[in-house]
Amino acid sequence: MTKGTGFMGKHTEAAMLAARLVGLIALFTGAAVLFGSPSVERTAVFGLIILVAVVGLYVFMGTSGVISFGHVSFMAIGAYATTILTMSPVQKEVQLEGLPTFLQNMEISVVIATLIGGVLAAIFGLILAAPLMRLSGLAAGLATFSVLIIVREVIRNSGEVTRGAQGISGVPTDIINMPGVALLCAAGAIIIASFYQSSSSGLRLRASREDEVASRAIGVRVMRERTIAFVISAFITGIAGGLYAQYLGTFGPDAFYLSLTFLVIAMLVIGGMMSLSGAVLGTLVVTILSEVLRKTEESGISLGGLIDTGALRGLRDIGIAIVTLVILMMRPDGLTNGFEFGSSTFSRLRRKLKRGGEGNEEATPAKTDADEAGTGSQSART
Amino acid sequence: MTQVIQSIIDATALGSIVALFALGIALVFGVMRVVNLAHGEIIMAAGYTLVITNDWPWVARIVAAILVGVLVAMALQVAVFRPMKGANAVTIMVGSLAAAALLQNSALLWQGPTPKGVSPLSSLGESTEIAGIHISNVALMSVVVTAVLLLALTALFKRTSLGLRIRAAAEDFEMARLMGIRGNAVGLAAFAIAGVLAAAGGILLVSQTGTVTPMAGLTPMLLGLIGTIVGGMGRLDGAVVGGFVLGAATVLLQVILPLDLRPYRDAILFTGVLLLILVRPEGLLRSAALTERV
Repeated sequence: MTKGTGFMGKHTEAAMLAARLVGLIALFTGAAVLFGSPSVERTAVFGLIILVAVVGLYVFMGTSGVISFGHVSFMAIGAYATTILTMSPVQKEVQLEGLPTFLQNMEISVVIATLIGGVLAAIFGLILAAPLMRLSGLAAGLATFSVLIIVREVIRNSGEVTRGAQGISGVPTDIINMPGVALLCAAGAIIIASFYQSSSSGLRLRASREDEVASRAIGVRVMRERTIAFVISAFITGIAGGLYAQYLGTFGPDAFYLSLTFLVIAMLVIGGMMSLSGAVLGTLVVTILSEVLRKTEESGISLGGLIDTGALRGLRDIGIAIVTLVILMMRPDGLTNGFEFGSSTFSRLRRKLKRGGEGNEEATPAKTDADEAGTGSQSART
Repeated sequence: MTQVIQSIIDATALGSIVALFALGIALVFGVMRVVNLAHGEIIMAAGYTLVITNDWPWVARIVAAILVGVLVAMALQVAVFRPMKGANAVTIMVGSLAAAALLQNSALLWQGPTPKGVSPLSSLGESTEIAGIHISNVALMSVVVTAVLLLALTALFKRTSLGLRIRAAAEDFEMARLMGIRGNAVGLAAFAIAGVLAAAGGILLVSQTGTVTPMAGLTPMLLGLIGTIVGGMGRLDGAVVGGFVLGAATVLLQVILPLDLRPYRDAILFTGVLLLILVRPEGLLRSAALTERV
């Protein structure tokens, strides 16, 4: 039985996918809040914020198949914009002397400021799209990487406006730390992404991902579709930046540089670059892994007093790197292998649970050909 | 006037070093059709080898550093690139990125984030005087070593059977295998050679700066990669030209830019790169082998 084609409007499917994914992350967030320590709760908030960024990256990179190493610069723009707009004029006088006067005296609510940050990032994306969307493959990767470096350098050297390498502070941090708020933002991002990818523009772009020449032959204007995806993606990622600024409280340009880029890309690729479920799953897996490793990183490993390694800096990143490598070798298309969590996923899971099989949701993203948004004719065996 | 000549010498020296990195990356790309984003970590590994062997005689140190470079490169091929052969390009790039992160953080874990000093190899820390101009020995050696390595490599490719096999594999991997060339062996050889180049460049670079950090391989790798693309991906001579141009440009920009624009040097450099990619994505020297087949 194929659902998702035919009678049910494609947007109902999009809504249902969004609902399932939001439900999944709500489940984990709830568990973290109810059973976890405050630091676990904070990790959950971090995970949700990063999820917004990963979903943002997916909207472009996953749908178009074009790699973008520079998405974190959208986060930087969103972060700095949000901070500058919400800082009190007094703080601005102290930290940023070079601001134009109308910005100097402005102080907006953090919600509106974050949205404005997203819009600014989207505008930046629109400007970049004109030259960049023609590229693909390695050239695109390198060009977007150049953008990342350029943005970071400009921020670092515009000390009068951004406080450069010293770091800027003053953005309110109380709202974001409520897991409910973070969950709401993540849900919003998932909903936008889900509806975008099943929209006609999104579908055309995904066609170009599979076979660019064939899609052009049927009239897909690849550059146009890529630009649309890029701008939406920039908006979402810019908002993620604004949220991340609120999470950090104080930050400098290096907070939006290489290690964040690697983290976001790793999450997307581990989960599966080609599906929204992949973006969500990847973030979930890496966040949990990261939390486990962080504890070990701080306290080191001690076996009954025999071995005490002390703090192991960098262990977390090593762990993530190893996991990325292993998963990429075993499943180059990521954990979800390009498929979304369809309704058949859950009925299969229910059957497995009833039979007393593995009860772990993450371990069995089941795939059947009835899954909407399944790519091509692959049928993976679990 | 001496200032100008000094800058030209520095530009040539850095250009030579970057050309070595670019060549290593282009070699791997030519044979395996993948970009090794972990190339910089080979450089870093060679650098740290020099740190650990601070008290050894300089010949032994160089041999050790090159050996380590070759081992790391071959390990990358066996552990990362060979298992992922055939996956799509993005996956392989992310995989090499993960390998790079792994190596960087391992170095961080082991040696810590502070820069470690490297004692100079024999007389590399000093300078010689030629016609009244002081030229640092490192700069001299950079140009000499690069020239020697390039000549050696050319001889390898044109005269030996291994070179022939590598060239065949670079042109058409599947066909080469059908003709009896062992693909894995050739891939390993390409990586090993790239390892030698990276280690050599790394030794020269570290001799110039005097310190190593876990992140030391990043900028050289980036410059090498961009040099390869600027010069024309898929052509070894293109990589040399591109790397050289990029390295030289880095130094020349530093000198030419007015004082208040100097902090923006990297931003300006990368804007130039961006423009070049947009205007001429194939790079300066075109390669027939790389036109995409529909």
